Amino acid sequence: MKHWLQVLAQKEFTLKLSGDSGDGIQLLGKLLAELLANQGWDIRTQADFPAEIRAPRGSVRGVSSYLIHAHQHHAPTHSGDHPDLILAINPAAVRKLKNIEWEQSCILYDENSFDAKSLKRAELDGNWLTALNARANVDSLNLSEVHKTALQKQGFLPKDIERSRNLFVLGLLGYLLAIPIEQSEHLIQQRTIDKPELLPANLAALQAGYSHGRMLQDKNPSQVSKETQAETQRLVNGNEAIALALLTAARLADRPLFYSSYPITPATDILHELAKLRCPSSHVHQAEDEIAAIGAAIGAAFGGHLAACATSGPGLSLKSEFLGLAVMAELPLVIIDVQRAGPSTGMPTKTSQSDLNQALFGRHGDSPLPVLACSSPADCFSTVIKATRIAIDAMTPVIVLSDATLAFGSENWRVPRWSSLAKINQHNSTALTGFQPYARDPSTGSRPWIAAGTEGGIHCLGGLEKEPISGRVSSLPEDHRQMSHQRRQKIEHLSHLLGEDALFGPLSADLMILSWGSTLHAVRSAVIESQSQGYSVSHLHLQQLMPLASNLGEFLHSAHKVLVAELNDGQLYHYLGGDRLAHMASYTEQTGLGFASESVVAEIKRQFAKESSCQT
Amino acid sequence: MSNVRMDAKGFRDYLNQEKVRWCPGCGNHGILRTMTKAFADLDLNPSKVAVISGIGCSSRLPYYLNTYGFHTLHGRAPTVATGLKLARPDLSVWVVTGDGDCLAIGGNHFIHLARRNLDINVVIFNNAIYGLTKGQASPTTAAHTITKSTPYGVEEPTLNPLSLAISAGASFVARTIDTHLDHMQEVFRAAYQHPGTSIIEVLVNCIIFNDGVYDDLENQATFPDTVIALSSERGLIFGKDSNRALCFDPYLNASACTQAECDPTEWQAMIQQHYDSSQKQWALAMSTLDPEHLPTAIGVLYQNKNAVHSSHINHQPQSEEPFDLQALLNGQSKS
Repeated sequence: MKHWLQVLAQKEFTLKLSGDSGDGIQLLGKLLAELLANQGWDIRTQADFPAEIRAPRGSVRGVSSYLIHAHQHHAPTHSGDHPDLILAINPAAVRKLKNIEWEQSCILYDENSFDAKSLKRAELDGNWLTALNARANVDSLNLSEVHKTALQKQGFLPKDIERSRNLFVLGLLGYLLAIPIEQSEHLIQQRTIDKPELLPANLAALQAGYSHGRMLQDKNPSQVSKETQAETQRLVNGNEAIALALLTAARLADRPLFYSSYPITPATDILHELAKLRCPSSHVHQAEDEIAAIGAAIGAAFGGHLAACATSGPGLSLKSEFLGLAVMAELPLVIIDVQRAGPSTGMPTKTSQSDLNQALFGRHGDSPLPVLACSSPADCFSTVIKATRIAIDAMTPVIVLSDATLAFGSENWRVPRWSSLAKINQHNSTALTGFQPYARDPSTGSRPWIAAGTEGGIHCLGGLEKEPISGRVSSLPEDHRQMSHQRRQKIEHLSHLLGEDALFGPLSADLMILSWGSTLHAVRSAVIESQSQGYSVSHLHLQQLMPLASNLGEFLHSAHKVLVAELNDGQLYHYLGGDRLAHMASYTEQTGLGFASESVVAEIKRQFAKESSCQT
Repeated sequence: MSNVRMDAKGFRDYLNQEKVRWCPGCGNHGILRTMTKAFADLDLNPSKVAVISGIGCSSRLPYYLNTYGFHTLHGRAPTVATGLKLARPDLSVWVVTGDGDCLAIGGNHFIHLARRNLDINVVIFNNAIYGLTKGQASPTTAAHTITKSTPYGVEEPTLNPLSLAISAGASFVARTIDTHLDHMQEVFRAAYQHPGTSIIEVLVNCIIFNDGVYDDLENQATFPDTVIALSSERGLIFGKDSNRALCFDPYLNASACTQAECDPTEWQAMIQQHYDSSQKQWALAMSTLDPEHLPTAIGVLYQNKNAVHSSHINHQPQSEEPFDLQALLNGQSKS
């Protein structure tokens, strides 16, 4: 096992920062990830924290952690699911380690935070600590003490000292990872702009961290290579990417943005981000409930704005009646569901893919609408732009499925020039001569979008069934038949616009892994690993779930066996009829965590073993 | 006639060709007619008017108007109207709703609409019954009323839409009656002219499921004794011979007395006490007069002309200049 300093000297490493939720671990992780990204590292992060704002201090339940997978230039050599190095700020963080982490990671802990009281809070004792120290992969540092002494000398108060410990750790790691101190200082100044009273202690802690880092490295010399990249790229998490995408989509559609939302974890940061940016020609509305949020969005869409809401599973349930109205009125709307583990409150900060059925089917009546899924934090940007495009083109609400892993995780994003992206226009004519609210464009099947207030475009929308073209209220059998058909047709037609699924690996592989959403990275890594071990495996990752891509059927029939991997109880598997097809199998996890690629590799091997035992 | 503008509109200009499908004799017909008359009187551009409704008999109204309209969900019209008004402050936005729609299923949205005080006019058709679902008790159905869902009489207390609206922060609160068309039109005009959320309760007769519930108020013969029309220009006088007065004690408890019961000085003082609709506590007292013993107040019960409405404290800076989106994407600004 490598010494922990050597881990940080590598061109690729996975670092897990772990401590109590009151220790500022999330902020520490985000700052470090951003600094590394600015230095040209490729970064992917995963956050894991409790739902409680203040879980009992020092308890295992209150552990908060932040995983950073960093590599330079070359393609990553491993998935980054498991840390090479874990920095634990309290005993509970160590107690919470998984078996694989005990076996494979360097564990570094702050010995000053492992006193009898902290051990007791984590329900541990001195014997446990002795056993811990006996392990070869465990090392400790006196972090808190060094930090405290340095700041005491400068006259800071105990509460400021306690609050700034995370920045001491940032300084220490910053030095060891060759991040210039000026950049760290600059970022801290930017991030704590609303709390100027904390700045002096924070900067002092950071500087003390850098000094301590230098001292440690002088003792154990190792070199970190510095490389930088010219391309504009930055670190984004999924929620930030969604906020930026909505602003970009509105600009591309040349319409004001109307974003309305009700607070719900893990979607709320999108509201925070847009509210903070206060961009001209965008309205941010915090509604009185989930229902009102979508109602206001529909009202704004009627007024000609690009309207969007984000929520999570329980909120989507509340919105479902209004989604029916949006389908009936045929107004464009982008609804983002940042999924969490459910049902009900479930585990609000933990990830899941269990809203697939709800997104596809969770409405009254026949109410088809497109459903897209984001595959990575940066992909949230392109998926939301795509969703806006089809919402306007087909005059329909669109559901975008993200999840907690994407919302809180971040990765490098190659920032596009927005002006080079295709404009978002409605295909059909919005000429008002002979205007009929439900006259459909022959190529898209969608009705014209005439904003309330337009001279000469007066019409009344509503939830009642209509006759085609004029949109007048009707309950004639033929009208309902035709309108139901047209509402379905225009959605199915979108598969032409959305393109085809791309297969990774051979068409007639022995096993095709089918996945969707945030599991892209873990599954793809597992497939590459299995291929390198000689298995005939391919990977199909779906980005559009309604309508399904036109070539999906071909892939499903070409593979000898299909394994549907997802973080729910097999919803995609059932959607595709897997339970009635002998060559389809389901692989699911319901842990609130993403897939680890090792487990996917193990499952692939299990599938091959099963296959060969069947054949013999 | 020279002062009549050539392009001036009549009420028919605000009606479309659709056949109105309310029951013959329903009070809603009068409201539809009066609303279009008010629009014509205010010379509104039909393309700049949007009428948003919920679900119920009342909420079919937008289908008959030659304005923009949206027949939305049960109880949720205020949410759609809020989004539309925030997005399009240039439109005159009206909400048409009923007692069940607004006060039962939509109660939450109703109070938040009043609180935000956007310039939206809400017309509550209060017939104290669910009509479209054929006769169940609503939150305003009086105690002991026999309905299909309360075959032994309503047992729950009622909810007063106007005192709720005042408490929730509405800045204009008025009441009118389906058969008093001129009065209704005046109330609609005042509501339109008020720059915040205006709540108008129209007491309306459902001829099929709750017929006669407001007979005393509607009937020409009885209404002078059962209704008091509020005005800032006269005292709180009512009665066929204008010989009754409404009085309030220091705790704003109301009572009624006749001229004969008072000595002349006392009577003079009473009729000179004009109603002041800017007084919130007085308005609350006025909105809850007990109809068993006291007249029902109609007209503008409450108006706060100085209330700050949300469009004045607009959260977003409005600028014609597009912001530098590329810098934002690059992470160079506003971080």
